[in-house]
Amino acid sequence: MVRNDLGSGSIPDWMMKKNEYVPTKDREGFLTKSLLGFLRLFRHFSMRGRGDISVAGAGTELVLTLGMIIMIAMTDSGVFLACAGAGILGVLSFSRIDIMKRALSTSLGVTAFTFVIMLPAFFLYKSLGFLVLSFKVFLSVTALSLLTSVIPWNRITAALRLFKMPNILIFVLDMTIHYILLLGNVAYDMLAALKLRSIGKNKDKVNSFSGILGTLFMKSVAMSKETEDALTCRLFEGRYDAAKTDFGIKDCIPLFTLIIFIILYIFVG
Amino acid sequence: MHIPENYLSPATCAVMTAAMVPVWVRAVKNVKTELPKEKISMIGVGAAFSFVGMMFNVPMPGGTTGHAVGGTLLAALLGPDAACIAVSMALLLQALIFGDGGILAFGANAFNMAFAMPYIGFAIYSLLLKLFKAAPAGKEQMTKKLVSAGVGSYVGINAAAFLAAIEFGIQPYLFKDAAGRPMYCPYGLNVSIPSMMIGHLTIFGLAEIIFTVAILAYVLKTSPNLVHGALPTHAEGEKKKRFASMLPLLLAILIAFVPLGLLAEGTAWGEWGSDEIAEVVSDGETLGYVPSGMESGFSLEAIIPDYAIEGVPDIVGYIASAIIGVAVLVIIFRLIGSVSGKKKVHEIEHSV
Repeated sequence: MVRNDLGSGSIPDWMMKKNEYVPTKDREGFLTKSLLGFLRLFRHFSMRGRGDISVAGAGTELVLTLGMIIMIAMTDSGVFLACAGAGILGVLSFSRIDIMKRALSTSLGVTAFTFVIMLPAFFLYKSLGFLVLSFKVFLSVTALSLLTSVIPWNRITAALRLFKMPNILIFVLDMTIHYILLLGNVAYDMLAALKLRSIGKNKDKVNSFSGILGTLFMKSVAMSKETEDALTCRLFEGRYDAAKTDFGIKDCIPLFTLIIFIILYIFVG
Repeated sequence: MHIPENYLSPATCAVMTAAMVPVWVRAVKNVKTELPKEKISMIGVGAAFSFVGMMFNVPMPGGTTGHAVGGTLLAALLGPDAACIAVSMALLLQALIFGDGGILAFGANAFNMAFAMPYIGFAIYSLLLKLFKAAPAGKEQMTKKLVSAGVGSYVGINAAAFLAAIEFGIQPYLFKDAAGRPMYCPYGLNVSIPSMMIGHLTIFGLAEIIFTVAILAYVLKTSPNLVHGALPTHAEGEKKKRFASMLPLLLAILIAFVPLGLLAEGTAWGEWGSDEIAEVVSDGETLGYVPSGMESGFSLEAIIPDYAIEGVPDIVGYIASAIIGVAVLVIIFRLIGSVSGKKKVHEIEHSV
């Protein structure tokens, strides 16, 4: 029989006992890693929202970056690599600290991966060529990170018109960027809820994985339907004109830099 | 499986991108005809789903985790053409946001993961569904559908990994520097194929199966009408036509690969001096570049072959080194400064 001590004003015995429950550890690496991945994504997007700080137009900067990446990949000249390194690191050293950190976190991670992968080649060829390859990877990824850090997405996608990318693909790319953040938030919330609500051993945790991604897919279908409706309300009938990028005096700087590097490549590359 | 920058030669990247152009054109054309104009937003959202899906860590037996691409799953859910565009967009943004996969290697990555994986995976999936006499949508014969999708996804990811291994593996045979050392990925086919395939035949293949089967099962149970093939717009005859039209496309891609061989011969021979050509011809394939590498040892010339060029480049090299040194120091000090600055702010906040 359950004793009811509440009426007499005393505290029940069971409330006086110390709670000995220690939740058993559960394997939830997939949750933690996925959550961290999404946090990293949100950080990238939040940093991106701090305004356009590029000097020149997105189109010319995109051309410069791609040109540099191609020449870095093609060259076997140490002099050219050193000059390209000087240029890219010079720009990086004068960039805003958050942009510098972001560019370096991306490029150093990829470079470290390359270094580890390419290290056995040293024993194969008895040469330090893997260092050159790692340096090339570092320069290319840093250049690209710098570009995507200083120019907002809409200007990058608009600049893709220079490469004759169809408007429909630019529209899809714009949509994708917006929905990555929206779907990312939904996925993060579901993962966080699963992590917070699982105390101790939870066998259903792994099974919930399919539920989260399945729900995410259904959510994405629902979102696309909502977007369709919204676009229809705005009389959208499938034609999308991406903004044109105008050429200004400021664009001469990246173009001039590219020309210098092309000349250098011709002579030493 | 994301091929980073500089692992493949620009020539290989150009060939792979050229091979992808007809695939993209065809996919966009098909999606446009399949989807009404106002439903284009579905592709963008599908691409976002693909990107977000790739970020998930798949729980594996034994407590480990692995990443999946989900090419076959997307093909099963959205159709192979929409999956091709969605994965391509996701790969482009991964390269731009995270540096996962190179921007030059985007064509090669798209060829492996946005073309080979969804189309081959979907072909196997459809073939097995036909053999099992099961419809793609609906809750009936669930096990057969899931087995088909699982096998399709496994074959799809391994086909993509095999293609990536070939792309890596041909680099040292085709592209060498003046000293005869490989300029890009240094591992030949004998190394690249086993190292890529062991991981994909086991861990990553399993992650792809878990990812595909688990999500497809959930969608089939909860919203079976959302699966590709459930919509009335996809007529059976149209599907047959699509598979038939894939054959010339595959042939076109194979033809696109032909210049690779020509290019290989031209570039490799063109890069050698006359004495080096003689060396290669007399010494045979395997001994071509080993002695020169050993002769050079670990000197600076070995790392940067053209460093010691007469006249101006020497000066340019030194100036560039100086700029690099200064830039690296500025970067390090600014990073240290930012950390200590943060600490100071933190301390002030605490003291207040």
